[in-house]
Amino acid sequence: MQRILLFFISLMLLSTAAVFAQESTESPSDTLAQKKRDNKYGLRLGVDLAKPLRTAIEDGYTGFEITADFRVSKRFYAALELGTEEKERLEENLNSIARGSYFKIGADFNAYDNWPGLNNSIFAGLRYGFSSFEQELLSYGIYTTDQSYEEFQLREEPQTFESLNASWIELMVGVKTELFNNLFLSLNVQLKRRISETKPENFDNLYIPGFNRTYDESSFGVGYGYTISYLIPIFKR
Amino acid sequence: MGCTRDDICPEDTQTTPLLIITFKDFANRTLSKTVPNLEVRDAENSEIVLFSVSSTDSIAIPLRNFDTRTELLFVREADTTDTDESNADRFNLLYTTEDIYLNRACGFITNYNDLSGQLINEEGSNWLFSFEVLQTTISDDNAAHLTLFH
Repeated sequence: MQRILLFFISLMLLSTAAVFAQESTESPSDTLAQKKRDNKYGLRLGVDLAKPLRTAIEDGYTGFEITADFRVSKRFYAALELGTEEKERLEENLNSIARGSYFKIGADFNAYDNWPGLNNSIFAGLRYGFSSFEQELLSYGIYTTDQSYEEFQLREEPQTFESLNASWIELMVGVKTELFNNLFLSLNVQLKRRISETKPENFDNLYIPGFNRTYDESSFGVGYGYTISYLIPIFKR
Repeated sequence: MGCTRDDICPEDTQTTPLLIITFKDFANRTLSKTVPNLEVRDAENSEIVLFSVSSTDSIAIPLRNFDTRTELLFVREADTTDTDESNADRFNLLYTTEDIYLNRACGFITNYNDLSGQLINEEGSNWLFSFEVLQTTISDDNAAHLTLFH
């Protein structure tokens, strides 16, 4: 976890450094007209490319997420993500599947001052996430410190725990680059902290759709996104 | 956030408990009495040695967690092949299992409930005379669950 935190901190420092570096070289002769041209406001819709990619190459994973953001001021964007995930966890002693859907709602703050004509961003985002899911316990073994009985048998009586939910607060940092006119590619990393959770009786939530894997010793989680999105310009300001 | 890694079950965790048996004197039921050269085997598969030869008045042995009974062979004076001195008694344990989820690293463990015993009478050749179930629920291995009198 410490390494992840360090990564987040350095990423944020890096983004601030980039902003300052650019400010010093900005020419005062930028015309107002040029600046105006950059300030496109509109609805940006996208999909997280990482999830269909993982669906294709990773056994036991299916996921899809659509993203939307809407610029509300010079630096602030209202943001929403909707997704669905199914993840198998096959371990020596414990086999389970989590499946469900989630939404994340919040805002992004663009810390980057663009050069005229560019619409890139280095952003920090804050989200509230909510996931509604079910967990299926497929089979498990009994943990024992004594190996006298060599017979190791998995108990195979599948149980499904329905109507589970969890919520969390998520801090996100990332970059967005305009590849072509109005087409953006975005990379972000996420640090999450769970604030509520319904646990199945005599089991635990090993994976929460949208939150990703859980840890026994903490309520933190991590994630990432690799999103392609298209801006539908509505007005300029 | 502790230092515990999620994939290693800590050694000090109480996982699936062992059955603790104490041996006491049949004539004076409060006195501990050592069994000379005791060996305990699984009766269904006598290749499985659950306690290897040693003189003691208490043992901890695993139960079959994939079954609701464990049949045991208690051998006294097991260090000799002399059949007059060596004596094997059969004792069965009956129970139900209750699986409990612990955490990601340890997974599930089991506790044993409704413990009862069954001493097989061998018409005068028994060295074990009677038994007492002290705890019908086995959820830890801190105290004796069963006493065998000899």
